[in-house]
Amino acid sequence: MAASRAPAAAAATDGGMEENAMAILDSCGIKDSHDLHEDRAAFLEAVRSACFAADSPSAPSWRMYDGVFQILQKCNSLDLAVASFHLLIELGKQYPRTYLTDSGGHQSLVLVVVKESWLPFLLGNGAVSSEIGGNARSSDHLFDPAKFLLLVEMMVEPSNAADDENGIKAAKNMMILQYLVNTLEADFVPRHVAYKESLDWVIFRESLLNILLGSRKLVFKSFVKNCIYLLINQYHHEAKDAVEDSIPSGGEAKSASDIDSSLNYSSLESERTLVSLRKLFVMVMKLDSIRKEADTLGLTSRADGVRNPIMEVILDELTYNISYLSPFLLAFVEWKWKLEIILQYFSKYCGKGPVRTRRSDNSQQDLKLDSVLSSFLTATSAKGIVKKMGAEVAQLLLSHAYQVCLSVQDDSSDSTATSEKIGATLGEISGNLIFAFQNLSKVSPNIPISPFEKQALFTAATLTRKLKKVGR
Amino acid sequence: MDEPLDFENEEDPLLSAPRPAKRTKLIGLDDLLVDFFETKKKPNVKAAKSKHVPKGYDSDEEDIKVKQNETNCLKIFEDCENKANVLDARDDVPPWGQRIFGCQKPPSNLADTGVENCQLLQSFCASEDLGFDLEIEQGEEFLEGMLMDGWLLKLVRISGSVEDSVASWALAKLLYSSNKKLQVAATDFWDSVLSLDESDKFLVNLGYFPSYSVLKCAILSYGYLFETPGTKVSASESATAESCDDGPPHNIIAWLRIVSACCKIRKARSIFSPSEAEDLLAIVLSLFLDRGLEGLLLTLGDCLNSLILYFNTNEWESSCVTVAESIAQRVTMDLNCLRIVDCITGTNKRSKFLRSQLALQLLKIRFGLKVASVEKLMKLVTSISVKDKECDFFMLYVYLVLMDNLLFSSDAFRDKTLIIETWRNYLRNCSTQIGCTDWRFYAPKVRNKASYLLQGAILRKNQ
Repeated sequence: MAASRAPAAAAATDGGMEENAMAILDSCGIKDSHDLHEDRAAFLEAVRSACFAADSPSAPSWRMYDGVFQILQKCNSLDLAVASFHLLIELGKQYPRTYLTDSGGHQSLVLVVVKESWLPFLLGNGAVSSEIGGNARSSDHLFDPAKFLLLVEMMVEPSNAADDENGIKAAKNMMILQYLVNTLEADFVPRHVAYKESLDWVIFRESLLNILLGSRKLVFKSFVKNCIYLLINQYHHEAKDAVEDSIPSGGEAKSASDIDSSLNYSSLESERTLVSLRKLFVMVMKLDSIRKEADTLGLTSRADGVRNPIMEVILDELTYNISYLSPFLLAFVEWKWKLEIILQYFSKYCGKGPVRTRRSDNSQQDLKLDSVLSSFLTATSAKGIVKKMGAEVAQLLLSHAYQVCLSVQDDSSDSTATSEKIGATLGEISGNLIFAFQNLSKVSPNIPISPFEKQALFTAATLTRKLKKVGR
Repeated sequence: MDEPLDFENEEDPLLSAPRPAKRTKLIGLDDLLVDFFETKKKPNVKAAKSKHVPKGYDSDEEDIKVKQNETNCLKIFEDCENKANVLDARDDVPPWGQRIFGCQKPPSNLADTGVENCQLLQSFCASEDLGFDLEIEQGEEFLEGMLMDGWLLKLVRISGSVEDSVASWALAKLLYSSNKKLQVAATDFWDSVLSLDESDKFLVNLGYFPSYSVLKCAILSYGYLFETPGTKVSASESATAESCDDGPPHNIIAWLRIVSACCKIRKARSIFSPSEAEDLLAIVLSLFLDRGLEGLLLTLGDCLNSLILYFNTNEWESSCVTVAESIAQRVTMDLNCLRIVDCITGTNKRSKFLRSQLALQLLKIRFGLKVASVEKLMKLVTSISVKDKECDFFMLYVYLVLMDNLLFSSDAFRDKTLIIETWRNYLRNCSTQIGCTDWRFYAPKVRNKASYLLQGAILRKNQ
């Protein structure tokens, strides 16, 4: 009896809590911007206390969730934006929409998706949003694929007016993107775990990421290009920061403090945005490889649509714009996938590159770093490759690949597949790297060596010495 | 105003008065008097037109009436003006924000770290000749490159140890370098070096650790001035001091991250003594008040949480009281104190306790109590009558929020029904006794807050 009454009571309090919190946002009466600001802050605090700090915290209702997201989009002060962003991230963590439960049966983990819970995305026909509330809700502020694309485009476009409002808008866009990627990730990770057990493609067919990217409204190629552009330029951005920050800002006292704060802030945010974009790339790469698996198993259908694998788009972009190569490799630190990019880049030039067809399993023919390095070990074969791809590119790729080897050594988790792709021990690779560089300098004597490559050589030499000592 | 002033016909003068909240020009008293005297000049014509003033009264009576009107008019407009002024005074409540950092002074002993003599570089120079000029003789600059591009960390992780000279050099870069990229790399380096494996052992052999004195020294050199009394300057004034490099310190994110990392390794090594950790906790809490750092909410929150969890269970309660006391003595009783209470997220038991303790200490100091007694505070706060003309609604607003935090953040008062009941009654009074037309400063806010808190208290009770 008591048990059956408990949920009803909980629902009632939820409703009460919702009404009580939503009432704060009620904007009747005389309101100026100051009041509005305070009300929004009070609302955020109310949601926080209801969902986290209360005696029996409960998940936020659709309207509460939505209210917080709207504050992030609409507010024009940094503290509200940060507070709402912070709250959204925490809510996502505390009340996941997609999660795994232990069923105790033979299939130990079961994927649960709370379909009716709030989402910042508007996927499908938009019918979802009206179902939930009973009365039709406005959903203009939610992100459909086109709007997602637009958000990234907006971040690429430089805002020429460097005033306060633009600064806050840029910071807000960065936070929104981070939040959206965060949401995609929260949906992706449990699915990935569940997929590893069941190998059921449907799990991923229904993932937010797949639906979002599969939409025809999102032009995938230009989306990836924009992301690459952001990755590369944000990396350089930090060097420029010192100059930009020193530009004195006129204006009243309050805005001066805002600029001061966003100075510290926008660089931090752009750093975090960078992380989010990398996360997004890795997720798409994982999705692509799972898709490929499903394709080979014949599990996909025409309804799944066709989208270029992200790896192809990236490689095209990097081959086309050689100048992107170095900053991209520096920015993209996810070593496992970085090695993949480097190897595929080499495979275009190293002769033995396998012919790739979509429906063939070619993992055995994949190029290994070891064999790449060995083709630099004689002057003649090195010459052949240099002719095709240029010594500078070769040096750059080799040093980055070497750094990946160190990461694999360092991080023992989930690295067997990558170790296979390397195909040799660290000692061998270190020695061969130095040989390769020496050969390259014989082939093209005047080629400059960048600081990054010098550091790679130093590290290789130091490690070779250390490993020898241990070996003796 | 072409029409004669006819006060008998006048509706409630308050309603026709200009909207007080707006800054539009009030109808000046002078204008009205001018109008009024104009009417007086030609009283007969105008009076004749008026229905309510019968013809043939003698002039004495009329004079009295006019005088009465004059005084009425004066009174009403004085009233209006006062009310409008009071409402305008809302601009006088400054938004939250206290000046936490003053002049930054770079530390003196950074110039020569001697890191170029480290084993790592020396042994390379002694034994290797690869045929390339690696520019190792540049020493520190070369190492900076190694650090920024991640090679140094890789080398350290693979070789399993780090030289003291390199470690302390990286810490100095983390705390003082103005190169953003170097700062981030140094922070990543230390984060990784300070991480533990599953059995709570260090992944890397480490002889040198950050210490309280190094960290404290760094934050002082950033210009941290919250500790010294008498330096409380509101955020708006801070812009005037242009003489030195003030504003948010450039390395504060790195500082917060290293403090956080130090806290997380307590299982393997306690870097801070309890009193040192208390001091750091108070520093981090005070940073929430700096407008310049409002974008760092996540980083600050993370560091705050690490510090809160750093304490041992038996240390926590007394340490928490100490921290709350020291903060309460320094924060001003305005929106600042509410901000700082709000920023303690209350997501775990310890942080809830801190929140309620801080509220308690703030109220205690405000009312000049020697002992923090909730019963006494309750009596003092509930004795404030909202019907009182002199009632300071802004302070009342602050008390309401603090009392609510004090009572409901922790479990301590869960069962004290008498206290809770008294509080609910008081909230009910606040929400019902302040009229909707009461535009006194902060009165509507008190009313709304009270009814919100009351609703929350009722929901809590029903659970």
